[in-house]
Amino acid sequence: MALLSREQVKAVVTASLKVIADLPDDVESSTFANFNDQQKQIFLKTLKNKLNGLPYIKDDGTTTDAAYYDVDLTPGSIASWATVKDCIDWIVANQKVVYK
Amino acid sequence: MYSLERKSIFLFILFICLVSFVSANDTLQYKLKSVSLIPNEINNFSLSIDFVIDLNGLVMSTDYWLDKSKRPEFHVTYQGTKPDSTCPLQLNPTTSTHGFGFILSNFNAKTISLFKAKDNQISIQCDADISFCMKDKNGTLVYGMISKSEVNSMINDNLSISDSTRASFLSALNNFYYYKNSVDFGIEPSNDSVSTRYFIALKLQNKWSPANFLKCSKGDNTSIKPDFFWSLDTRLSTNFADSLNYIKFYPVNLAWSSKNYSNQFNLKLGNESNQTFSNKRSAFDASYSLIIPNLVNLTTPSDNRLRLKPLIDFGVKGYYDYSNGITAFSSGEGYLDGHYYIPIYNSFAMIIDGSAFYDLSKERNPNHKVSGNYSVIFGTEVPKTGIKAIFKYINGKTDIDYKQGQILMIGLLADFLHEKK
Repeated sequence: MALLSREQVKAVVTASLKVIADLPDDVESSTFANFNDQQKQIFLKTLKNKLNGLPYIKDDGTTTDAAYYDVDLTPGSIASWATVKDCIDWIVANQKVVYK
Repeated sequence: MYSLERKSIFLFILFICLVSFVSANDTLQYKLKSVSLIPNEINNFSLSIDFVIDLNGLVMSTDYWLDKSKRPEFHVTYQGTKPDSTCPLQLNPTTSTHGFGFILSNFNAKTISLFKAKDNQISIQCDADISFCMKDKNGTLVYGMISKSEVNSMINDNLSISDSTRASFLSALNNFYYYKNSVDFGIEPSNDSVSTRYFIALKLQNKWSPANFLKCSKGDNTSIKPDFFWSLDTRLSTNFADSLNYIKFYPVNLAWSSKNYSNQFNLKLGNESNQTFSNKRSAFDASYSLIIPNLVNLTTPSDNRLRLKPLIDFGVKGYYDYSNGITAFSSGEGYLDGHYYIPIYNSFAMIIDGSAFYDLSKERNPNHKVSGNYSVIFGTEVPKTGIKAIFKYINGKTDIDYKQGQILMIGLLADFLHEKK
């Protein structure tokens, strides 16, 4: 396992969005166009906290706290994602494992 | 017997040599493709140094560095400056889909100004060759190595932070931290062009010292120290007598936030007035911000739209009113503010901003009524521009001059502060 699968990342992204919104069935085609700065801030901080809080899953399926998942985010990150799908794909491609 | 023993020793040594030879051949020498510096400005500020390796279709085995003895050996170098022993930079190795890297954290204003500056006063140095592990499609492990000299020259030659980049880190951190900053501009239409009026609405917040956004975070994560900043909330119009105009300036703001900022407790101290300063008061305000569940659903499942939840602020305010033409008095009020973006079917939307307040003074509220004001924006997005064509209707009273006002505006709503670069 090690790096997160797309399904795992999608679960983190949708859980973070649910803090500020009710989601449609096809959440991946939703956009961030109408988020105000407060909603952007809450979403990004929740996303980062949830990602960092996931236990690191080793290749054998067991977990350890010797590492954690992370992704570099800035206030401008949302502007680079046209849809929630883009957000998920970007995180899958740019995720990293940080060793404590 | 003696000959057999010698033969066994010879075979054992030969076996060891063969194993060593095979192992050495299994560790492939790799070259770095590039290095980049990526800021993280959400939660604690950090910088990622990201090395890209040409993995030739293999994927990094992130388990390999769980063994601390396999991790790269790096240290922070401080040339020409003493390390800040109270706030040392923290270095953590990382692996990614495309290579490996480091996260540098625990910056303060001094260390960010010196890190990878022109004279390299603060930098990082690799102490040993870096070994790493990859997997092919079948899960077979492949070992790789990059020389420390290559990594160090890549850091020294290809990595630097210009003053403008450093400033943009700070300003991005700054703008986002106080997320309520906004600028709205609009036109109040009229029957004749002479009396057409223009308005601007500003909400600005900032720390008195922006450098304090970068602070030593070690041990600070559990701190309940509030954020300290100033704020200006105003609506100004070319029609000075417009009863909906106001200026609220709070030099002292204290905010305690939950971890993801979904709940926030605020205290502020400042002055509130109308645009002509005929109505004015000093105020002390305590409020709480939170998100509540959606109240309406004006979409259908086929519209497939995300419905943002309403944002609410409620609080109490104590004030000293020293408006022109009255005997100054002290009183207080309770209030409730809200912001709600309501998607309507496939492409329309309504934005409702409202404020209700109850003033305790007999001078301002002799009939003991709850007053308030609201604005309704109805619009649709112009594709690909991020700008919304809007009609905005405002009705009600402000808690500054208590005069009823009503305006219909046509304007553009744009996110001036966070334009895409």
